[in-house]
Amino acid sequence: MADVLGAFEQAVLLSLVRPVTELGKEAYGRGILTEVQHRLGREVAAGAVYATLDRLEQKGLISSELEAGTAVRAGRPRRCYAIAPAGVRALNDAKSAAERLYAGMRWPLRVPR
Amino acid sequence: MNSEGPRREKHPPAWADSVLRALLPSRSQDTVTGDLLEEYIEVVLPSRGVLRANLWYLRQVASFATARSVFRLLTHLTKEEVMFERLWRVTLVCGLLVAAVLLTRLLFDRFDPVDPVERFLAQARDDYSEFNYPRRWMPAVAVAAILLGGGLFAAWRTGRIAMGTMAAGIASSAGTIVYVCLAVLANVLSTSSQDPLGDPSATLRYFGNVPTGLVPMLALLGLILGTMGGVFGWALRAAKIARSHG
Repeated sequence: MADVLGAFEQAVLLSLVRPVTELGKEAYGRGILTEVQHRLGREVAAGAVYATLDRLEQKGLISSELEAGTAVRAGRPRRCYAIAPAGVRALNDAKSAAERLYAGMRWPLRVPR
Repeated sequence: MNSEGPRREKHPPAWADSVLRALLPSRSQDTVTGDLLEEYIEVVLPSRGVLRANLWYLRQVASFATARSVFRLLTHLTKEEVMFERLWRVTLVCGLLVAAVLLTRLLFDRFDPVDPVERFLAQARDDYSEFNYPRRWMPAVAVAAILLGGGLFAAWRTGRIAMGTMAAGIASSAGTIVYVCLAVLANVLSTSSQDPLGDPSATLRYFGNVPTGLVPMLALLGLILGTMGGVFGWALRAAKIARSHG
């Protein structure tokens, strides 16, 4: 198995698999930022999301293509992202790894005396 | 939105936009600034007002300021693309090594202080030699070796002596600034219970035993040793090229 994804990387990939916010469905940087913030329930720095997107793209887990810009963004293009098959496999691996890690535990966990 | 497009006063500060562009790789400059501009105009500005929206924008710009992007900004300012492309790692490593050497010396002085009277008496003896006291000369030798090595490597990789000067100069300045900041922080942490912050004269005391003069001194040393290392690196590269052609 390749190196397991971090929690933030998983949040970014999951936001591409099944976005729940309207903006998130557009799958460009701003939409993904909104979606990740919604999933994590906290404000997230834009730099962290874009750095993660770059890293995931370098690993071949997502792909991107440019789309034309709109007037509100002064004509600057949008980069739209899509999850690659390797990204889906990496998410499945991460889920399996977490399940193996927690296997046999009784919930909720209690502080040992 | 009106058909003429967004007006300038609806935009974040132009200088912040320029800084952000300089921090980003060319591939992402338009897309990322476009995304942030869109969020700024459509969401942040209407809900927070100009001042808080500008602060939000500055926070976003700051979130892109990683070590790598700061080097990109430096290359943007110096117009030295090659510096970022090939030298940011060696500069970062040299800077961290310089800071580590200086901090090690600081830790020794804190936990195993030298008695000044003993030192004075030792220096008065006929057989006194600096080499018997490695704590005094070892850090200087280590820093010099790091800066020479950094300059050599930078020039060897790029074939330009100036790149050695620049890499070692930035590494020594940044490393010493990190050291000074950590030394002041150590003072604040170790004395805060008896000496709370707030009184300006008390705050100045935190700098009392920190050699802040090291910053310009080591910056200059970095430039000199980087240039010397750069000459060696350039010569090595030239010799290697000559050998491969001959």
